[in-house]
Amino acid sequence: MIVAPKSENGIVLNIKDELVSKPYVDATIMAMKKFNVNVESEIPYKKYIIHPQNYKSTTFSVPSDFSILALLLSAAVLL
Amino acid sequence: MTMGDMPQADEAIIDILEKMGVVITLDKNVIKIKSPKKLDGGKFDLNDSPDLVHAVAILALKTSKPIEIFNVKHVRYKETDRIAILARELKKLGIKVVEKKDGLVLKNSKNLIGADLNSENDHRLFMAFCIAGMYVGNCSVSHPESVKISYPDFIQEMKRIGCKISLD
Repeated sequence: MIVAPKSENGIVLNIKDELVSKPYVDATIMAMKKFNVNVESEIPYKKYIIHPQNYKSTTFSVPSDFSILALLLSAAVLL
Repeated sequence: MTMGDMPQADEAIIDILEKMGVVITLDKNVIKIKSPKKLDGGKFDLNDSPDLVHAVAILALKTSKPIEIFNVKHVRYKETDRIAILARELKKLGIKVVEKKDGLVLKNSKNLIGADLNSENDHRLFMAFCIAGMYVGNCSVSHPESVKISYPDFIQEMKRIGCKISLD
């Protein structure tokens, strides 16, 4: 998905079966948007269209990582 | 419940902990945790947040009812087969584990015991097993170098808050 805008003709992504880890796709699309690249969600989690586009530089704040935070919260609960 | 302007799948941990009876207070940059003596169990579909599986599984050390984690077959295809390793290693601590194709059922036992845990060089499992080991005591966890990939200061920070961890 991230490389698709730099392909010559763009990419149509068709997803077979049920997609797992869906929020990661949403996070990817949102991050791409911050760099001025658009992903068309034709059918969310089933079909995405990405036309050839150029990424533009931006200021981007990387959020805290909830995957690690989840472990620390588990530790706080247990210990 | 969301934090920041980027969606993060693993924010789901807040709701999961609350369902288990933990009282959580969110401030701007601080999360306060008040844990009951025993957690409730529960059934959790972690399909959207596979990186929570180990963090939720170790909570079975402190639950009064079983924890069921399901719809996470894809967790078998991460850095390691985390379902299989969690089942195998948490059993060593005395947790009663049923390994399913798409998840785990974990029941607490009164007879928790320290053990040598093999994280199979998987950073997330190493950290989860360290936390489980700190709760149970007398544990060793293999592959400390694996944490470099996501949390290089993990051991130092655990020590800073008073955990007794030594490197062999």
